[in-house]
Amino acid sequence: MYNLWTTFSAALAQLWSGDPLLWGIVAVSFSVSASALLIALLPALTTGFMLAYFRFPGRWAAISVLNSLLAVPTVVVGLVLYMLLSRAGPLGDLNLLFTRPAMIIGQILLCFPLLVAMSLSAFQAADHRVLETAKTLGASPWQAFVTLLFEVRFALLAAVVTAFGRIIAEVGSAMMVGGNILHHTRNITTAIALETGKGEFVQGVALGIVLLTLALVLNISLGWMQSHSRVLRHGD
Amino acid sequence: MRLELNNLCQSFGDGPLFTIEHLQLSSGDAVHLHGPNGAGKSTLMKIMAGLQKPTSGQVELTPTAKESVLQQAVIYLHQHTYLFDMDVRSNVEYGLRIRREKSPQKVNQALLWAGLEHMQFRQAHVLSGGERQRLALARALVLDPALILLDEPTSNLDAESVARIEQMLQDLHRRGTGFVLSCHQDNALTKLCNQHWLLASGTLTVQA
Amino acid sequence: MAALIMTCLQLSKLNTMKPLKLSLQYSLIAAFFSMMSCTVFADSIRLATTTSTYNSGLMEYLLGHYAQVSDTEVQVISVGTGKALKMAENGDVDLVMTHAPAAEARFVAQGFGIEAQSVMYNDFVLVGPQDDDAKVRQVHTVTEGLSRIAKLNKRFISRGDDSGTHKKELQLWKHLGAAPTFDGYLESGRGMGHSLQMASEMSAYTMTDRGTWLALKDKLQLRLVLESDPKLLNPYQVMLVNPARHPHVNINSARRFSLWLISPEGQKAIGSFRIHGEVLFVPSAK
Repeated sequence: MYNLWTTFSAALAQLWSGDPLLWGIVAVSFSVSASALLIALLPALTTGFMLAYFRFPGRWAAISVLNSLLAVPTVVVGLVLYMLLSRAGPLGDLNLLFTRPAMIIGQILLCFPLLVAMSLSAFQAADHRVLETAKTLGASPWQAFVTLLFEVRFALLAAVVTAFGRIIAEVGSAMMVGGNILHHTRNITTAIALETGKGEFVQGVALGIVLLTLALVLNISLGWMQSHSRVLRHGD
Repeated sequence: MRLELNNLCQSFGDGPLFTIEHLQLSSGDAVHLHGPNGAGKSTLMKIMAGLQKPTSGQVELTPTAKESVLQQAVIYLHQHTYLFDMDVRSNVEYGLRIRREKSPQKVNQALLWAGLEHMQFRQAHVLSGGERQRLALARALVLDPALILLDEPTSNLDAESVARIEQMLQDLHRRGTGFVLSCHQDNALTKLCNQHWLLASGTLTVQA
Repeated sequence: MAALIMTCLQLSKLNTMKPLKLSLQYSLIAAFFSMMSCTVFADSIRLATTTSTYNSGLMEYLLGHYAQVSDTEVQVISVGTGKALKMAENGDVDLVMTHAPAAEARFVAQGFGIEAQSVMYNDFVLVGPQDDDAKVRQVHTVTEGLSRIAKLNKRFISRGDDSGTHKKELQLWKHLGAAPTFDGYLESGRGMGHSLQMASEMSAYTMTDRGTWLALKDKLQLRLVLESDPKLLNPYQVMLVNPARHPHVNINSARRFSLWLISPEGQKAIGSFRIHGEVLFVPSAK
């Protein structure tokens, strides 16, 4: 039967040997999630800023919708996107279903609300004097915004890390709209789902180790950032 | 440089906070703005600095009346200075970087003037109250403003710090930089002023 | 990671950077990542097929052979039969290979698929716990076997996922008269591999295609309890998505692959695929 230790060491050996198939799958995960994050980042930060600093009708509705979106399971996002991108759906002509751009869109939808919510609370927690100080020293609105981003950078980095952790570990949307096609849309999580289904636990564990290591690194850096931003607040 | 306020009306909630028909200020002026808490001293200063739009009325800066010029020519200093999360020197450089101007000499001079050159590479958040206030002045000085608006600059400062601020304001005055000082009581600083404005009960009275 | 590093770099430089320059760099990076994401291939088709052909390794084996005679890349999406047919119906793939004769007949009759060809068959087997406490091994027809399991209220794992295997299993229960309602009847809602692992962990019976069984049996605490009933035959058909309904499909390349599957070379490749020395799929093209 499955010996936990032999499976684990075989998985480590497979990782160490630089198995191109395995690392190719890891590369798919990273390139898809990093693209999604990069594309979503600036619009999400801008939205978070608007919600924090401007009062407009529908603002509370927007925040409520945003917070509800945080709780939507990834498969639901995948399902909706699948129906939109399917040939039978309204966006079928884009020919995006079962491609990496489709996975990227799914992950953008997943990380956008998280980034907005976390940046919103970062901006709300930021000192209201930042913008005034920047402006009185000659900053344009854009420069003042950039200064504010800099002042809350640790909280924003925490948002980025959390969002990256969420999308690289999600399987629902990637499976639905990616289709788990080898060399194209098979990423860490869909590969784990497939390999465990085939009883190939070694590769599943190997990919799991990659995810676990990543989660560890992300969480340690997150902890560091949080403690760092706390120190700053005490210093003020 | 002349700063003029015309037909200014500022409301707070439903009612008016203050109305000012006409007010004029030139670069050499040293003004003490006083009045009870809640009369709108900070609001008036933020309006003068272009940080806040008045409910109605105009703020005009002559000869150049562009808002961007207004923002750099008139600098507002908060009661509690906000220092950017960088080192002391970078804080002083901030406004120059915004202007894309590189002049280390100006920065060095400002640091020297504020007595902060020995701690210029320290993180700003470790500074004491008096040092923060001096850094705020140095940060404004490098931009060579026509007018500096100081909101309660001496609150929570010890006598020695107040004396240093006084010295710096005297220097500014000699350079021809105007300033408006809001303090609700007289102290060493207010003695430097040649004008006294009282903001109370919704009106501003210019005193001799 | 790259995103994180870039963000850190940008944030640290922000104050000196021109806004335009910043957004330009930003979009360049984004464009770079999107370009990395889309690899361009000369010609490719998408095949939706069942987990039984993919997880057993057959598809990979066949595609290895096909790559020697064709430049067309075959992208395989492995799902249950129901979902595969749905994908084809929506025009999201170019061709399908499934094993559910009744559903396939309907699929063709409704005009979603064309040129249905039988490719191969394998068979289903019943597997159960090592001790076979329902004594299914003593009977020879699947009807008797299933009725023993139901009567003794033994655990039985059903796929419950509208796959070809699930459809087949429901059809077999129908021969017994009614849908299975005994307490031991459990639906996994998952693929064959997962269902077999569940059966193994829970000492339950289940019905599986022989391919997945042979591929997995070394890792399972289960044994084969019933086979060789003609009712357990499992025919696979390949069908092209109707280009009259979905003009965008790559009909020519799909047809070439379909014809190759039923050609002597394709059929020979299917017959030569073995796991643990056993033939899994029997070529059946006419």
